[in-house]
Parts: sequence; structure tokens; C-alpha cells
Amino acid sequence: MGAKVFEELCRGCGNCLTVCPGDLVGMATGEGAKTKFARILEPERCWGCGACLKACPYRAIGLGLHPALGGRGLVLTVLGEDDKGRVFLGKSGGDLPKRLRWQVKGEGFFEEIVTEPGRRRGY
Amino acid sequence: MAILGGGVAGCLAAIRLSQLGHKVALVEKAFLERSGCLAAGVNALNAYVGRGKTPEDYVEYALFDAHGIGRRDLLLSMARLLNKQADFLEGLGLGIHRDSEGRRLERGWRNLRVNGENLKPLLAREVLRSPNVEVFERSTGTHILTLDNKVFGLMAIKAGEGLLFFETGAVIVATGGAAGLYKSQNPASIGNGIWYSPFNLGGGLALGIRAGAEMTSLEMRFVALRCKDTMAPTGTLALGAGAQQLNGLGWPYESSYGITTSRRVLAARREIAAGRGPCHLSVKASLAVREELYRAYLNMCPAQTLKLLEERWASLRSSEKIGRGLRKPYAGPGSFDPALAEAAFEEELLGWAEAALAPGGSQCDGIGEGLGQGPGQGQGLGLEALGAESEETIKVEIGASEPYVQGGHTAGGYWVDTQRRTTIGGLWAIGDAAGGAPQKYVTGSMAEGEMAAISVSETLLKGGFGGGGADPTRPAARLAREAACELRTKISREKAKTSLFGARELTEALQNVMDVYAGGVWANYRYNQRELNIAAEKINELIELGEGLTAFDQRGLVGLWEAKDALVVARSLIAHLGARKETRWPGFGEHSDYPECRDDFLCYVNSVFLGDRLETFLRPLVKDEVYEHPGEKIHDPCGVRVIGE
Repeated sequence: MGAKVFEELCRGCGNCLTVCPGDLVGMATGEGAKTKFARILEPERCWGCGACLKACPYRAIGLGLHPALGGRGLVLTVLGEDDKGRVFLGKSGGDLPKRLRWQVKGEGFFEEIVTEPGRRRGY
Repeated sequence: MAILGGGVAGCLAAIRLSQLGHKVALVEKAFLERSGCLAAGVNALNAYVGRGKTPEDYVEYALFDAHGIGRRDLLLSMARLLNKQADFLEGLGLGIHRDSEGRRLERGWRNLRVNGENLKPLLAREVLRSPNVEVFERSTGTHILTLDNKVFGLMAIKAGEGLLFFETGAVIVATGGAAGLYKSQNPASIGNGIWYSPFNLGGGLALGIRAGAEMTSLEMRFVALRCKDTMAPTGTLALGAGAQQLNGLGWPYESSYGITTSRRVLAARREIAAGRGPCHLSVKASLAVREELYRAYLNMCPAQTLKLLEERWASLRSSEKIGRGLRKPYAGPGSFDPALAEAAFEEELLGWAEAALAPGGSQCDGIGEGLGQGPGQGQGLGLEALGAESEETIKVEIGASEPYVQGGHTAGGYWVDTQRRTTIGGLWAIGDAAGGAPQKYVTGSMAEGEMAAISVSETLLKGGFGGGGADPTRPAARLAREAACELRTKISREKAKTSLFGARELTEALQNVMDVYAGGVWANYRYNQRELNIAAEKINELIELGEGLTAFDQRGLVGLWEAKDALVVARSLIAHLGARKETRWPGFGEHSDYPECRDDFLCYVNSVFLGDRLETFLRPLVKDEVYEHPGEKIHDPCGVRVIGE
């Protein structure tokens, strides 16, 4: 299944629209055209790279595995260090975050993993 | 000048050309930030010349791994620039692991561990900071326009805006290889069940084929040995955590097949075919190693971390069902439940006893060390909270992917000279789109970007492109208009509405043909000339069918174009498979008519599309440090023959 937008959490900021390597994310309108939310236009083409997860400030996009790949309901979301989740938007050329907080959630399961892109580890 | 494709190769070329003072249009089909093969990131740089080794060593290794079919000149010029690319990336902020003495931590001698989740954004940011580069995002290339075998322009569709025409005498193709020629082993609805980027569909190759560029070694398909289902890299486990490949009977089988990439793929396939599957990578991993694995996969293939955690979760839940006092599920790191620990302990003891009897599992000479081995994995959690070092056996099933055409791992792509010039004047090819230099990977693709940039710059300084140039001659303008008209007429709501088929059906039909008749997974990677003839016939029918199709809208047109491009690449691939009358890389494919490796095929299979027919021919191995395209007219309509020497 790849990436999935949880519509009730999405606030339609549009950060995820300009990061997908397949240009698969578009904006949809909710009931009465009052709410806008992101939508994966061709979910069957999603590579599962996580670019949109990292761009979402509200943890409204999750990555899950299709049951055929071993998925049983865990969902991966990402939050950037500054709690804005926004990693890098091409137009700005701004700084990249120093770490990413990844969360994996399921019923009765929670795991948080922190990765630090710039960290140089000594062994 | 224009660069088609904004992956690592294209980005590097753009950065260097900008530094050399040239105006560059970088044409990218999606968004620069994460487009290309490194969308999720990469956790190792696989092309690197380690301490005490030389670029020549890298060349020897790559040629050996390719069973002789590689270009010495391309590999050597690339290998000399590999470490420079690693330095450059580190300068941009890439985290390269270092040992306690501050040296780069090498994994083997060709491989650096990195925290590369942000590698592509780092490069993209550098491109955006480059003063002379204009980036055209959401723009898919449709035509490389040539006149008298010289480039005069590039045509692209920009989503939501229309057609773009770049009038230029210099184009670098940096698009990547071709996924989607063969069916994925996973259901078609799962885009993340394939190894290569599903957005690399061979368009850059097709554009060149149509324009008459010479292609090489497409028959050296790449089949990846990967973690089953997620197609995550196995090197992370094998090299990173020291995991061993075992078959279903627990035997380490790898060494009996040979150590080249093709042989290693063959090993897993053969073991499974012989009824000794499933094959898996197995490693006893401490908590620290496991967490490092989670991080490493998050930096490259998040689905694999998810899968590892799914398996862990499943084992927790199953132990709950068994009901050994375990009532509360795991609530995160740091939590400790005495009941859970007790249950885990019992389970561990059982597992430990079993593991001690299993072959290769005799390292556990004490409970403290042996904990976590065997079938009861996942229950060591409570003990971790106690501070005990607990090892778990991580078993990840592995399998072969479907075949791909690309020039980054194997050698399929444009036939280029040492400067990465194709056989079309003013057209360069780099990265996965360029053939002849296997084992290129990230740093090799960047090295090619750098070399092409220098070559383009030199040509520009010499005063243009030898006649092709930006001179808008009348025939050129006419050709450009024709291409634009062709695209415009392909959008028709009325026709698309009543059409029985569309791009999707075309692609599905292509995959059905390739899978069965051109050595896909369905055919167990085997093919023979009779089948290839059928494949060629059917692909030609589909190409004809595609000509009559129209798209509903602009997005549909891009999809239709991609489907048609894939057919063009498939047609060339089939011809290449047939022309190599031997089986050189059995892991990647087996020619059933010629199951042996033949010395007389220690040469390249090349092809040129001549408008109405496809010519394949053989070229002798390039053993010098420099290769120039021969001036002679190379297209001779007599089928397979050796040209040169």
C-alpha cells in the first residue's frame, strides 16, 4: 500500500505536493469544498520512499506495508527535529534538520527511532 | 545546454557545468529534492577505492564481476574520480561513518557506510544554489531532436503547463534505466514491491534509440538479490551486520556457486529450485546491532524496518496467545514488565537449547550470551530493560528480483566514448542510462556527471557542436513543429473515452510478453530464440497498437508516452538477448539454446535503430584507456557482425 494520507489529520498545507519522486501527490477537496487534503493520486505506483512522510508537519501521512509484503497494521510516521516535520522543500534551499524522529505504531506497539543524517559515528 | 534527468548524475553534471560558467536547463520529471534512485536515501556508498587499493583494482574487480563484459576505459576514468565524489558529498554534509582513529569506516574495500537519508536533498540543494542552473520540474522528456545525427533540441511535457522545447546543440541524458519491462513478483498494485525506482521507465533510453543512438549490453540485465518482499538491500545485513546466507536446511551454500553478482543471484535461485528453500540471511544480533539495522534501513528502505518490526510485533502477539503469563504487550523501549520478562526467559531457554543443537549455533556457552537465539525471538525485550545483553537471531528471507535494464549495476545503456559522448553529435549519456561501466552506483554516476560536464564545456569552448549547433535551420524548425504536433494530436478526450485500451493495458501487455517469452520470473529467467521471435513479433504489434492510442489529458499523455517508451526499450532488449548466443550471466538470464559461456562472445552486443529496422552487431572488447567513436559508417544491414579491429 505504501504511503497513506490520514485525511482527518491532514490540514492541506501542501508540503508533500512537491517532494514525491513520482509526482503522485495531489490536493483533493472535502465535503462542501471547505476542506482540502492531500491525496496519493496513483497509490499503486507509490515506491514507499517516505519523502511525503518527512515533509508532513502533522504526521498525517503514514507508511504501511501491504499484507502481501508482510504488513499487519503497523504504521510508520516521521517527525523532524523541530516538530515541524518539514525536512526540505526544494524551492527554499534551506537547512536540513539534524535528526528525524521516526515512529512505528500499532495496537499495543510503539517504537521510536531517531536517525541523525549528519552524524559521523565512531566505532 | 540541457540535462535530462535530475538524479545524482544529472545533479552533479549541473553543478559542475554551472561552476564552469555554462547556462544549464535541468529537466526533471518529478521534483528534484528526492527524484531518481535515492528517494529514500542510501546507507552505503558502494563504489569507493579503499585504503591500500587503486582505481585499477576497482576496474579489475568490476570486469571480473561482469564476466569480462565491461569497458576498461570507462571504468578506469570513473574509478579515478570515485573518492573525489565521496569527499564532495561529505563536504555537503553527508554523514560518513568513521572509526575511532577518525578514518572513514570501510565495509570491505569498496564500500563506505553513510547516514545517507539526506543525500539527494543535499545534492538538490547544491543544484538550487548553483547560479547558472534553471530547474524544470514535472517535465518529462519526449523527443531528442536530431538532424544529420546531431542534436538540435529537446522536447518535454511540463505537467500543467504544456510543451517545452529546448533549442540546444548539447544534451546530457541522465535519466536512469528501465523498470517495468517485466512483471513485479509482487502484486502489480504494490509499487514498493519492486527493486528499482518505479519512476525510471526507460524513457531516456527510448529517446536515444528512436534518435538512432547506439546501445550496448542491454542483454546484461540486472537481477537483484534482495530481501524478499521489500526488495531492501542485503548488503546492510551481510556486510553491515555479518549475516550469513543459509538455505532452508541451514546450509551456507554461497561458496559453491561462485562470488560474482550474477553467481550469487543464481545461487539463491538454484537452491530454491532444488527444493532447498527458503533462503535467508541469518545473524545473531545484539540490541545495539538491531537498532543500527533499523536505522540503516530507515536511511534507504523504510519498508524493511517496518517489516522487521512487524515480525517482532507478530512474535510478541503470538507469545501472548500462548499465554505464559504474558498479558501486556510491549509498550516501547525502556518499559519493563516482570511477567513479560519471565515468559521471555522461559522462551529464550527453550530457544537456546534448540539453537545450541543447530549447526553453526554453538557460540552460546552461557545463558547470558545465548539468550535470544532460536525460534523464540522477540521476547528478549524485557531482559533488555534489565540491562542484559540479549541477542536475537534475525532471519530475513531473500530472493531474486525481476530483471531490469540499467547501467549502474550492470552494463546496459548508451554506447559512449571515454568522454561519455554517445554516437549522436551533441548527446552525452551518464549514470544508469550509460552502458559499459557496471558497478557504477552513486559515486560512479556522479563521476560520470563530472566527466560529461567537462566534455561539454570543452566542446562549447571549442566553439559549438560541429555544425549541429543552435542554428535554427529550417529543417530543424520543421522537425520541432512536427514533434509538437504529434504530441498535441495525442490528447483527445473523445477518442480516449471510446478507446478500448490505454497506457495501463499497453504496459500490462508488454509485461505479459516479456515475462513469458523474454526470460522473466515466470519463465525462470530462461529464454530461447523461438520465444524471443514471438516476443519481438508481439512487441511490434503493441508498438503499432500504441501509435493509435490517445490520452484523456496531459497527465495521461505522459503515461502513454512512458508506455510507448518501454515498448521501444523492450524491442531492443529482445534483439540483444537473441544476439548474445551464450549464457554469460546465468543469474541474470539463461539462453536455453546456448547454456554455456562462449569465448567467441567475449565482446559487446550493440544495436542501432535505423527508423524501420533494428540492427544488432558485435564490437570487440575495449582494452585501452581511451576509446573514441570510429568515424566510419557503422550501420551495415547484415545482422550480427564484428566491427572494428
